[in-house]
Amino acid sequence: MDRNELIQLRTRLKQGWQDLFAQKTVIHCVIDGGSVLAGAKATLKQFEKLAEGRADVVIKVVGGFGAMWMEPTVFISKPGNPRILYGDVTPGRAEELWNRYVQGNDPCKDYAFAWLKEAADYPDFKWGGGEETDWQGIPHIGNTDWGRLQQRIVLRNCGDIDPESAEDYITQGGYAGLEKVLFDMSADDALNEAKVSKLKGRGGAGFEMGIKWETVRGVKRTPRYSIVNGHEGEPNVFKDRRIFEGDPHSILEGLIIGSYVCDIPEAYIYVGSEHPLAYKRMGKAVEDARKMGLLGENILGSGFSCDVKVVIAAGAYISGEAGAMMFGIQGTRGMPRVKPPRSAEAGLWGQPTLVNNVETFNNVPLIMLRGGAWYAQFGSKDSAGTKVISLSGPFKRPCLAEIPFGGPTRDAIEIVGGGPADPAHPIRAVQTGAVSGGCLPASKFDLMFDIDAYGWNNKNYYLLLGSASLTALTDQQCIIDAAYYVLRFNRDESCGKCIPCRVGCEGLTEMLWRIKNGDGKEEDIDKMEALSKMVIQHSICGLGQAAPLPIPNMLAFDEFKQELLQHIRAGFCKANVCPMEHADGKKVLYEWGVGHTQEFDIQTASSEKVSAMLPSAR
Amino acid sequence: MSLTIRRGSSEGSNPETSIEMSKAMGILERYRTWNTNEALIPMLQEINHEFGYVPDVLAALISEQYDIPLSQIYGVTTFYSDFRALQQGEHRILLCEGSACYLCGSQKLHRAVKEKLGIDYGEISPDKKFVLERANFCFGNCNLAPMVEFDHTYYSHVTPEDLLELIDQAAAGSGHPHHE
Repeated sequence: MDRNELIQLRTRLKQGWQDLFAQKTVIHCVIDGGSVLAGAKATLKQFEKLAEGRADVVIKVVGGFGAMWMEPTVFISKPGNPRILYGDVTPGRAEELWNRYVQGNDPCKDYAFAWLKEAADYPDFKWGGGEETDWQGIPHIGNTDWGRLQQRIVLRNCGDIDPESAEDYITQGGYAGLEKVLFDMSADDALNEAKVSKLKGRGGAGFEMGIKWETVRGVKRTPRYSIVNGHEGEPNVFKDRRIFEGDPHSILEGLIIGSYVCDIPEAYIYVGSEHPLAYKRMGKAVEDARKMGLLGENILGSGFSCDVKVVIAAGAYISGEAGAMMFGIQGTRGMPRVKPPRSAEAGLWGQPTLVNNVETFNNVPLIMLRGGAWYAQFGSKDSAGTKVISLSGPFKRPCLAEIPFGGPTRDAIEIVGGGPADPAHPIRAVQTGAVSGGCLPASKFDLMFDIDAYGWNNKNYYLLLGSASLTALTDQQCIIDAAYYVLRFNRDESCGKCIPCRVGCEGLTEMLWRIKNGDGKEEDIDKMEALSKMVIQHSICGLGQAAPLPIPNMLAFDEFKQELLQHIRAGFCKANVCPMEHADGKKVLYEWGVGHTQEFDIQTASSEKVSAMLPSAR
Repeated sequence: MSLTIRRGSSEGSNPETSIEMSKAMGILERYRTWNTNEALIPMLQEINHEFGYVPDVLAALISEQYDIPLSQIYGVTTFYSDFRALQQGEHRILLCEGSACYLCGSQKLHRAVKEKLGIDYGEISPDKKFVLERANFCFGNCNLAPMVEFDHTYYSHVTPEDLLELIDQAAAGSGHPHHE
């Protein structure tokens, strides 16, 4: 296929798409890794059964939309009516929807969440801020709490298109960015756009993409490689796998553009083995693109060749680290190495390598199409653009959403996430960055949502935005337990190459377990602080440098420190999570102290003091 | 094959006789055109999927035919959590212990299995039917916690009773639902 054929195909498909929605009832079932478990396949089957023999109804599969708290979700659009999103569509409810809305004319507004247009119909991909009003009592998605802050640049196609169909992606303006870069721009222009966009890497480290591309481009050695890092092994993050499942072609397009700019003929896509649907759909996308001439020799007749291999990881959290990932592709143990040289100079097989995260690459087609300046206008001063956030834990709406940088973190928690699931248990902290970073207490929820406001530059908080997962903690979750969980995970997943991380995480886990069990001592605090500082300073990769962050974080905030002291001094876990098997003696002392003197409070108490207060007869 | 190398706690727990060599050779043949090192992990993944573990005899065979040090193969199979070095039970119970599942009761499931089958994480039941494992990663469906993967099928909102029923069903049935 050459450029003209692609343009013609797109025009033809667009016409077909419009005709489809104008003439037929289209039912979109969200099928992704999460919705399948909620029973989305049964819903899909039910609709297929009901639509049997009906030429005016089309059932389609779409990728993950992100509304995970009400899976299985379904979109129904009837000719002349807007597209409506329904939640919790069990097979029974599917039948009811079919009878009342598809057959009849009642849009079932009790089951409807919102109505929405296609992503391309929203300028700048913002749902909110427009002038849309309710339709038959169903709110527009931009007027709902979940939708009004969102700006879906990365997730633009998730929920709109069939991820297994290259045609659907092309219809939505897919591969137009690649086309523009290959024919209307020089590689230097494209690099310039990438730099102007000020897009920072979305994998966690936040290194500017344009600068990385420039470095790789500047290194002239061959062969050279590019890699999409899609290995997402940590708990509570699901952005990469949902992007793989919802919009694989966009990742591919971004990857080809990056490879073109840096003049790279060989690329890899690294996907975690935990996500079967993700690598299945990504593999299909690569095959389809190759068949259509969008990949391989002489792409679209431009003379540029690039081929892509999908590599499935073998299951190790550390494989998400760029250095370790390269060793994984080379068929050895995935262990990070000491840097420099950076992977831009000596990466895969010791050659110059371009590595970016899935989400980073997914932004690229639009940056090329609309210009870096367009992208840079969104977000905050230091962090341009938008970020996909994964909300999990006791939120009212655990979901995948995308918001621009620059707002207060409170927005993400209370508006997008809808606050706590149970109002009786308000959210008192959120853990950011999955297993690399501490917790942000409720008093600091106004902290700007921005890579730099979090992150290494903010020495007071010891937080990392990382992959922007927010896990809620209410009074039913214990801060010490959360920190223990992070340390234990990192201890288990530490590759064992550098000693600070291997031994340090073990030591910290052990001390936290002691505290959880009621054996904590006052001096443990100093020990943990010193040990975690050592691990942070001396580990060679991001895992070790981030693993102990919950400890200094716990000590940096007064409310967390109080809780730690309560565990140590009073043998008391107010969330009632820690086992505290050996804390009986402490509890007796503490209760006795509280009962006997007004001055006794947990801030100043220590076991020696309490002992001194005991009557000598005891 | 005389290239059998024993490792781990033996007691003859690694019967090499049960593997079908023709299948293994088929897998090995498929990677002839690949770069040797790049082929290693996909090849081991396929073997692991086929047999449930990476038999020593195949590791030795790969080492010989592809000229990869046996130490490297052993390193890879023990480093990545997808690989198993010893023969596994027929059915794999994988409990998610992501923080959400952890909080929503994955420990209750752990206890239930432990009482029922008498095995802990990483152990195989005496009748070689079940193996219990902990998923240190997350299935990414934290709103459906707790999650269990049973023979490569995912189950959500699992209660101990559900899990015990699954075990009973699997114990009563025969064959490997492995490749579904």
